[in-house]
Amino acid sequence: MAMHLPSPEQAIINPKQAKDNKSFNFDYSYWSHTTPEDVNYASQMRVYKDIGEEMLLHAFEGYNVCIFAYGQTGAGKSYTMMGKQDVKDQQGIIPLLCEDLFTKISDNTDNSLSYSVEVSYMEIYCERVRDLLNPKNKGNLRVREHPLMGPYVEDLSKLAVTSYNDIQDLMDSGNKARTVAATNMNETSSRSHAVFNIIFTQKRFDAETDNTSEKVSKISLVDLAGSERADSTGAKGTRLKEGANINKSLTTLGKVISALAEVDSGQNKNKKKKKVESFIPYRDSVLTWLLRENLGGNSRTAMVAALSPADINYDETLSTLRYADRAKQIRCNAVINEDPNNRLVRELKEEVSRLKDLLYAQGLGDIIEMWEVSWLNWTSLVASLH
Amino acid sequence: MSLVSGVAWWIRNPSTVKGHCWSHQQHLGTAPVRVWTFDVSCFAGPITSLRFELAYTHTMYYLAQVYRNLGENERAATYCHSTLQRQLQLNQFSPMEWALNAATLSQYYITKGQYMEGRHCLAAATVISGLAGEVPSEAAARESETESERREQLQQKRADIARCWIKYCLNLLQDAKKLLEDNIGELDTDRQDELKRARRQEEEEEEKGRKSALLFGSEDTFDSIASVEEKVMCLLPLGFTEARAVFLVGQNSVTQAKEYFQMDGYVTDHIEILQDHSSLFRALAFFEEDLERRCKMHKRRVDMLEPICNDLNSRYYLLIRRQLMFELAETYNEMMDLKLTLANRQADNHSLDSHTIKKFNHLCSASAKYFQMFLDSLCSPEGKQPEHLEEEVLRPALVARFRVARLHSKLISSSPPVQLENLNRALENYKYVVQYCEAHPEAAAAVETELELSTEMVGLLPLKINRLKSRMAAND
Repeated sequence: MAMHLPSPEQAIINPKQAKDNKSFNFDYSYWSHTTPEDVNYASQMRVYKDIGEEMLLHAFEGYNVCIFAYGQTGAGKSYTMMGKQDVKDQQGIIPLLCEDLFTKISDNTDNSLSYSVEVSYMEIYCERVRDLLNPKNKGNLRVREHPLMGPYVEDLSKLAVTSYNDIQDLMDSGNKARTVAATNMNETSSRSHAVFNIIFTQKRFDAETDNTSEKVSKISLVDLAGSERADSTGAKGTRLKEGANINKSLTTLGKVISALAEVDSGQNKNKKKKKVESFIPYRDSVLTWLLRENLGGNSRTAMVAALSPADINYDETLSTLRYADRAKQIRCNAVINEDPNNRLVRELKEEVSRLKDLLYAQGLGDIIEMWEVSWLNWTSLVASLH
Repeated sequence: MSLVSGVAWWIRNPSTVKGHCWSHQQHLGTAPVRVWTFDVSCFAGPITSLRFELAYTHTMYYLAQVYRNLGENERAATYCHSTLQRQLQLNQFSPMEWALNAATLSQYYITKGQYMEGRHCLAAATVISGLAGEVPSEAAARESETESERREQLQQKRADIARCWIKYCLNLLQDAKKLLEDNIGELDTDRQDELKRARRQEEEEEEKGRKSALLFGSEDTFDSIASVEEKVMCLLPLGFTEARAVFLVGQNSVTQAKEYFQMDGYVTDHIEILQDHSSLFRALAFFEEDLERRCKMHKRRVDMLEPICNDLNSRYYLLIRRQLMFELAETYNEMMDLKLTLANRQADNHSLDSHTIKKFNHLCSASAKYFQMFLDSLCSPEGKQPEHLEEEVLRPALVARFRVARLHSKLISSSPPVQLENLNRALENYKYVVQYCEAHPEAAAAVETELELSTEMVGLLPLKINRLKSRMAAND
């Protein structure tokens, strides 16, 4: 056993050296590889209640939300996100969230509110996008951006659903389409990302103004490809070993150069200097590109890292934890570049000193006035005494 | 973190090794590296010697990675440069990939201010990308998916190289500005003269530098690369004529890049290009002595960015819109200041004619409007102001408040009620800055100067307001 969860903190023990503990902090941690009889066991419902429920609430508020599952193949990503449909209590976040969504919709008694729900389900494999709700469309769907419609996938089916059953049917057929893809069944589903999107529109009719206002939120539920590394022969978990094949092409030269240019432009954090701008010509992965809006701005994102407790998976587990740890620090990139305002500051300082002069002058004027009035009073008093 | 702990050479048939070979141990950081050096000319057969040349190239490449992992970026860059050079010499490269790598490397040099090296990389990238062949026509692309992909790839990568050129020109202009500006951002003519005198020396050094630098190319390409280099300078421009020449190269690259990165399809990229174009204008404006013409350059920026800002979906492009709003606000402010300076020069005393006042107020309000729009964009979907400002927007939000305050107090009006309204708005915004920093003390560090001035104004503006009120009461 390579892992130990004291509480919201997660500690992982190096199976070879008990003293070399590594510890990571997350918002929640769950122990689920045992059974419900174990007092520490965390059920699917518990995970949903902690994470999914809050996300659904944010969606009702009008925010875009996104839940990612990351980790090694077999560690439990798909179980967490989708779960087992036909087994009681083992449904994952996606079906539970959808069920909850429709429950809230049908519980609504306010007549001025109306809802509509559309779903899409796509698979991204080797940077190619496939429509899982219309697998007959063999074409590689292009990702584009439109000024009004935002980032979208060309020709991706968006199907309207009116009940939880509708969604269930679509999920089922989408899931089936996932595995029946390439020759190596295991390869595809573990190497591809699956993105289930719910576009949730809430319309409120205001009888007073005769206006309808609309709130649209997008809920993206992403089951990421297995994070384990694989070399070109398909074997998993191997790394660059001794006796490297010197005939390998310089495929990563571009990455090394990009890394150089990026690191250096980031180092100019000195407030006085303007940030040096460069352009790194590499393309974002399709996934990053589509979910760009979820990485910043008015959006809420949760990441679930799936881990295996087995000793042999120690390296991968550590890598997943580190990735998840770094993900906590992801911030949006759109920095506001401000012009230096030295001239404005100088002008304002001049104005401040002008106003201070005015205050001083007025202060003096007030005293003089007061003095004159009291002098007049005095002289008239004296005059009246005679 | 595990580093590449050694660079291993592997020779398939050690028995065929003839001639001299050396091996020695070197230390890179703490890791020992075994380096084998071979005298390649001893080997029989061109194929074997090519394999070793390639292996040598790979060593350069591995060394680049090792140095990068050790954080020695300068060395890493040199090895990247050498790898690229050897690829060209050995004719072992795919043109577009090579060109993109060279263009990316140029960006490293640009961030270091090494414009000569950066220009050389970019020129080489331009020339070598031409070797990738013609872009397949639209008709050909419709027929075959491979042709369609090839068309996409070629067009996109060439546009990427154009974008690297834009950054070159932009950084060159901005660095020149940094060198020439005084403490309020105007061109310091004394420094300009001084630098012009020193320029002659620089030009000699440039020549020497070129001779010793690692030059890309083979016999065919040396000349083409040099002729591309001749189109733009690599020394910092010191006056308007030089700056304008650099600007025009940048603008040309903008046009090229926009051909591929069109708004419909590539919103984010298209807007980044427009933002660069706007920055090119801003940088050029610094060098322009005629204030009227300077104002026109800023107007070009507004005309370019304003329609975009208003047409973008505010949900999907929230962050980009914020950048645009802020930039528009600052640009309008700049134009307002210029108009006022111009007007004050023409009329010797302070009286401005009504036309100028109207123009001034329009620019002033437009600036305030965009700062306010930026502030409104920080609200929740229900329209509520944020209680706590996130780190990325903290300073811009407080600065925006500060600017709105200042702009309102600058509005010119002959009507006292309007003046009162403006002063009240100004006071309200200065107060916000002070109160926010009181409630969030850690924020004060981000806006020291602005906080100081806001505190003063919160103390002094009520004085002005009261005088105005009493004058209004007296006149009733």
